Amino acid sequence: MNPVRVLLAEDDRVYQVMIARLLRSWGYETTVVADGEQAWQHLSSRRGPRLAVLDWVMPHADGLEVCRRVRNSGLPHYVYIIMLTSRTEPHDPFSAFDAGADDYIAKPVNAAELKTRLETGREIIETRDRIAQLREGSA
Amino acid sequence: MHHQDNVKVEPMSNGICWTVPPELMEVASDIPDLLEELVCTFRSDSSLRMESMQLAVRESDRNVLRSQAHTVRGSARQLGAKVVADLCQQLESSALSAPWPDLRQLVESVAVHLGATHRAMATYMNGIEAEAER
Repeated sequence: MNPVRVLLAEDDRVYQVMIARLLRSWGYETTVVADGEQAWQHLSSRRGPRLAVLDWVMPHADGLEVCRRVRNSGLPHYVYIIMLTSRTEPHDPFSAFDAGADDYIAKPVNAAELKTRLETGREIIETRDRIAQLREGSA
Repeated sequence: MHHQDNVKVEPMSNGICWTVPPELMEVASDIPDLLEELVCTFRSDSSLRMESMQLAVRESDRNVLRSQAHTVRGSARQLGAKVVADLCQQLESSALSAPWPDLRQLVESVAVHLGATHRAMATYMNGIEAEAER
């Protein structure tokens, strides 16, 4: 089975290093970018990653903007998005979900939590793909 | 603004103002050299961002000040540099509105404690290297 590809969009070098190395140690094929425009370019490509970990505060386009673009773009495949942030306002998670994020993780990052949430995302994508195949088969 | 009323800036009982947080230690124990790489990255990246904050004060650029404080806060918190993270949090939340003399003082406090944290990190990492060589 091919490794699952994950896009990590994060402009903080410390988090880039830590999360990328964690993802690779868990078997994910990982692409790292440092701003929202690059994230959007990867996610909107035809065979782009299906899992994305997006920092909220990034240059050029923030995580919320990338989420909105993904959800409004009519991509043929579903992208599971985990929003990552050190913001601390009580309404922040709701803003992230409203923009189209599937999950939300507050910094500092707990490795076990990130791993579990990525596994959940991977399972949801696999389930969606199976449902889509069944629909195609019965059409 | 009296930021020093809110932040305790005290070294630990052993005189070192930084140690690896347990959750990071747990992660780093599974991935070779991760701790060294993170500490090295934090020291170089936060030094550059510190310079950027000092320049932002000189150029009266509140947005850059807030943005850099936000990033240093996040990585400092992850690496267990609590005092630096707390000071940056104050800086981030006050950057758009506080008077410049207060912000200047806060930035200099961040610089002092970031420097102390960098030295403590270097001491800690040298200790690990020495331990490994034994």
